[in-house]
Amino acid sequence: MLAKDAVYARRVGEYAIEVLIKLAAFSSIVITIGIIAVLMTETIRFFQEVSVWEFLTGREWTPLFSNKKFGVLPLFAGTAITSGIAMIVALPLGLMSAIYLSEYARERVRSILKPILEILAAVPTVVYGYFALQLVTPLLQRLIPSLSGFNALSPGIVMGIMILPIISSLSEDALRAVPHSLREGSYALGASRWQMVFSVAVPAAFSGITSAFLLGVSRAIGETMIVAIAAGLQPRLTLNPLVPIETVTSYIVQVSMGDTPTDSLEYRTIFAVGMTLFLGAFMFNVLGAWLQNRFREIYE
Amino acid sequence: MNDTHTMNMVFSIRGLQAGYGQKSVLHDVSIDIPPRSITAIIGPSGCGKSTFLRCLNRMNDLTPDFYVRGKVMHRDEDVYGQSVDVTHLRRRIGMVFQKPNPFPKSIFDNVAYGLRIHGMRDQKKITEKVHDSLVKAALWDEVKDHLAMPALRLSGGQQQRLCIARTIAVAPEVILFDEPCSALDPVSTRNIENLIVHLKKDYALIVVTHNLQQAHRIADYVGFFHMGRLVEFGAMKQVFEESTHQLTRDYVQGVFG
Ligand SMILES: Nc1ncnc2c1ncn2[C@@H]1O[C@H](COP(=O)(O)OP(=O)(O)OP(=O)(O)O)[C@@H](O)[C@H]1O
Ligand SMILES: [Mg+2]
Repeated sequence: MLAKDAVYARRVGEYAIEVLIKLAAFSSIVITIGIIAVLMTETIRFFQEVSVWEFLTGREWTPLFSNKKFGVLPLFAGTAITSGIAMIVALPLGLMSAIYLSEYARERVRSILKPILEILAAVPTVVYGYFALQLVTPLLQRLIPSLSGFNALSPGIVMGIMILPIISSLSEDALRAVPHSLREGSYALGASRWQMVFSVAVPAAFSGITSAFLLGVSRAIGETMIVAIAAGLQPRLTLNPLVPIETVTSYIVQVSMGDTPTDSLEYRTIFAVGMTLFLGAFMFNVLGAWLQNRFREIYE
Repeated sequence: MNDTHTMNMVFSIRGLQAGYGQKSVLHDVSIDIPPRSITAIIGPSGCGKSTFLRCLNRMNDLTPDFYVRGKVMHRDEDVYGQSVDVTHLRRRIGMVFQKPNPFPKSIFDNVAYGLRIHGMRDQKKITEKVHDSLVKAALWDEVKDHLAMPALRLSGGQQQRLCIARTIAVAPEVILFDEPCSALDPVSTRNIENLIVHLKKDYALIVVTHNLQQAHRIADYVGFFHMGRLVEFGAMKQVFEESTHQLTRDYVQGVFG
């Protein structure tokens, strides 16, 4: 009798846990769908008043002024230039540090360097923002006198530093996953270490490095605080990194923090640009998956 | 054993000791490897066959805590000498591994790899060498129509012959094989064996094997290792049929393995 109860209690317990886990799993799906639904309805309402064509090709973005223009290109340009600068900083440095850590560093050096690098990823982005504004911009101004107090260059560089550990750590994982037997095959033919690294290890880890790169890009595109603080909030269609600009994300911050009435066309702009940001990030993910499949090599 | 005899040897090894950290693996191994012949290295698992083989092309340099003492002469060059260029050495002493390890590149690029890292740029010359190496490795007829195909799509036996072609391409004088057939089916094993026998007119071949029948089929000389010592080295017939060492006789008769 007692044993039977115990079995029964255990079954109920198992069942409850199963239900809880299922709920947790499904809640993320429900939340995602919810977010997309809200984004979609508000975006559709926005495009009932502003044409998609005007939105995508307009060269001026002034929804908060009396003379409203809804051309998103200046925000795109802002995001593109800050992200581009970030990747120019993060990709080579991240890749080099990954190669150093996985191929050259002794185990002891590695065990010291890796945690230090990972601290970079733990710094709150608001700190990076002020670091860019108060330290990097003044330093850069000594080199480039024409640099504005707010600009794309400084937050771009700082964002690159922020992304560096992601790229480094993911690329390092990819390099370490390259089978030892391939390295030995290369050495056995008389390759030097750097020849082995660049002709075998890096190409074999290519798909992993690509996905590290794409993840870095999507982090850069989505990064908000650093650009909101240090890039200025001035939408400007330019690729000049020395002047104030505004990115898609920092525009969203600007509107949501401001006193724009919530049920207005101005307010709905943030859903429209949010949706485009979402689609952009989605495209990068698809591209990443496609590239990974394309270059995947099977080692047993 | 006089000097001219030693000079003719591909490898002349004296008092070789090697190990990993506290663990000593090879004890006082001395051996001469003759040119244009097949030397089989046999012995029970863990006796140090791979360690021995990897001492010859300094493949163990990359293993942490590895140490080596004694003299390893390749022709008139001290393999562990101060002035040795290891990359140059490894190019002349090729190595084929237990598990086929083609690079995740095309068949052509696998064979061209060694040529390119050693600075060959002339495309015509590379194509020619790739062709010759694939022919020598008895793989050409099977792959000539899809040289651009990823090497990883070949069968295991084909992959192993590709690895041999890749090694031949850089024109080594010796090729070291570490159990080259143990990951292959019987037919591929026979193919590789025939290929190895065929190659001995141009190269000295040292083949580590667990397979005594294989050693019997292909070897001219046999070295029998036991617990890090070279128990016996001599002509194949002598080791297999006329050995005076009890250990050797027991091993080749399958008393232990
Ligand atoms: N990298 C290493 N670090 C420490 N010990 C090692 C290392 N490689 C091999 N050994 C040890 O050295 C000894 C000899 O190994 P080795 O691989 O040379 O034997 P083997 O004769 O080739 O064996 P098998 O027939 O199983 O391949 C073994 O006891 C092994 O555990
Ligand atoms: Mg072995």
